[in-house]
Amino acid sequence: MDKIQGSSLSLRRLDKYYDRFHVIRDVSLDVPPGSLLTLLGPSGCGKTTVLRMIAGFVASTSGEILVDGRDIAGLQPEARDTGMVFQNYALFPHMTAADNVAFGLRMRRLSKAEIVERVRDALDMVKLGALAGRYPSQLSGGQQQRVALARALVVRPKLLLLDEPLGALDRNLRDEMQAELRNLQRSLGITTVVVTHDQDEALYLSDWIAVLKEGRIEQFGQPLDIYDRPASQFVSRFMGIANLLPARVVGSVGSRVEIAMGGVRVAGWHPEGLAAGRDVQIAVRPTHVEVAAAIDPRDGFVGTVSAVAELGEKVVYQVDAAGTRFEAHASRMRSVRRHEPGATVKVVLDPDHTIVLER
Amino acid sequence: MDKENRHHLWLTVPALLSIGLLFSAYGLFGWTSFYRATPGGLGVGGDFTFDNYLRIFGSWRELAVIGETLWISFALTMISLVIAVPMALVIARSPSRLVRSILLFTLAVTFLSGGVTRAYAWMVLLGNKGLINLALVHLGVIERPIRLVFNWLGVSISLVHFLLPFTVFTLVGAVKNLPLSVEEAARNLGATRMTTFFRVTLPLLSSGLVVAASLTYSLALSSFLFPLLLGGGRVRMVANHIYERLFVAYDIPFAAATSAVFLVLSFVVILGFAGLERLVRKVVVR
Ligand SMILES: Nc1ncnc2c1ncn2[C@@H]1O[C@H](COP(=O)(O)OP(=O)(O)OP(=O)(O)O)[C@@H](O)[C@H]1O
Ligand SMILES: [Mg+2]
Repeated sequence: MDKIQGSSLSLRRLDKYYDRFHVIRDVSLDVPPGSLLTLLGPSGCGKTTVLRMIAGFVASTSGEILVDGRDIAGLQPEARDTGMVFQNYALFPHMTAADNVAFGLRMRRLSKAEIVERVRDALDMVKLGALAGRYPSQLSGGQQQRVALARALVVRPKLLLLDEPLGALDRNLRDEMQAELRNLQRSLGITTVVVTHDQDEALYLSDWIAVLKEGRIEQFGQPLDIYDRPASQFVSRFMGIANLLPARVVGSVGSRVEIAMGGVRVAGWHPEGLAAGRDVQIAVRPTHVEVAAAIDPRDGFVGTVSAVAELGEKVVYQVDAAGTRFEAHASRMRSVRRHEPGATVKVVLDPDHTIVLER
Repeated sequence: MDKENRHHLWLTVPALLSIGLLFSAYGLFGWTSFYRATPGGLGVGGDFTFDNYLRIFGSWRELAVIGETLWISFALTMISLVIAVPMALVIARSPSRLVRSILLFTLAVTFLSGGVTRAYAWMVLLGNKGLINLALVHLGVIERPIRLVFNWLGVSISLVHFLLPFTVFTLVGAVKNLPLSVEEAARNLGATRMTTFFRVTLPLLSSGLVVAASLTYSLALSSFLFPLLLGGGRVRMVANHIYERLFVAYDIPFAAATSAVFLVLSFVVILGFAGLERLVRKVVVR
């Protein structure tokens, strides 16, 4: 298939009420043409609702959905020119794979010859050319999903919408499809919105991520931004930061903040810096926590190793220090010294990755 | 088979007895069709003969009653389906509990009220001085009352009313099994509501439609009460015809022959529906 002229997508102050339940609250974001946006969040946060509002299956209570600057919020689903891949694929059970893919082209009244050609191209693109004559019930889950993808893409929609596209697949197939989906999306240049609750999937696929919490955008940004610089406790926890600990600000210079915890001072990061005396929370990924010898000269918290577990490529330590418990991950491959349970050690935090969060 | 189970077999005896009784009654009735009514009526006698059957197949009048019943039942089935499909869709799909409840209640009430009550209710509504005619005259839509009852129209209206709940309830199950997302996928690909209905919803419902149709058709074929009460003697379906042969002409063998012929023809049609269902399932739903 040829490269698609990607469209820009903007959501402006989108709101949705179900009766009195305010399920989408003031959602606004902009993504440039050709990029992949992920709506990420826990179950019930409103991801599917936003996606279905874009597709036109859920009416927004207020707000605008701009595609190439044009508001499509008032249009019927069939007039929106989006291509959706449903969570259960929603293939037409009474049509072959080829007829499924041809459906959208028939609706657009293309010539027979062109339909045949484009269906063949689309099925080849998802490597299903040989199975064109099969019915959905004769295809595996992964194959059904490829048909669904081909069916959505063959009409060259302005937006590709995917609801938990890989949720139903087993681990290996999911990794494979993730890579394929990403390559396909990049090479076609089609603006895409993916719904997922899997942070790894979001990090792998996305150009932009919107983290949703209770119908609101909690943080919007590029994947590494969200991974390295979570803006709230919720995002930190959702992005797998296991150490979320209370602390107090001692002072700050620019974005470098000095904080005190259990009588020890360490450095952390906050975008604007914070005034001294504030109660805060620090978020540190276990990989940025080092378990050093007790005599290490750097600033840190002296404590006791309470548990050690070796898991594949990493060693997981639990260390009790500063009146709390730290989780630390060390590489098992590097020949670092092992600490035994009960050993006295010093916990050293990487200041660039110690995120200071307001409480 | 262990002792316990053999013991339980006795429980089927009442059922077997009643079924046996019923079938022997049918059999006996069918057997009389090969004899003649004795001149005084009530009795059956004479030699074994195919006369009664020859009389049926030799008389346009007799064949017309059977043909008309088969045809009218088919038409009523189609009308019921056309009304039932949207009703079933709403009952199965409407997000509004109130709408669903009202529809279900209306249908259930139809079920609960007895046939005679309903027939008289229709007379009150459809008669020359009935509510509908009064209203139409009053509104100036028509000058004089039009005949809505004691003809096929009245019988058809009341029969559709009788058949509809069966059709709808059979279809609701089929609609509930139809995933909404498949229809949404069609809309997403550019199909209007209408196109989606005809290209996706209806084909996927077709198996359920055939089942509903055969049930409705069987019920329509056996109509007796509504043609009797609302037909005013002008409208006769097979059941009424047989009744007359039995209790007016006292020609039991002829009534039996008519029943037998009708039974066989009905079976053929119902088997046709079953075949259609298998075909549809094979072609449309995989
Ligand atoms: N038809 C509806 N009527 C009332 N509330 C609804 C309806 N559909 C969704 N909701 C509510 O809206 C909220 C968001 O639902 P949504 O399906 O968008 O969540 P989600 O983020 O996709 O969750 P999941 O990951 O479980 O799919 C939920 O709290 C849900 O209960
Ligand atoms: Mg969802």
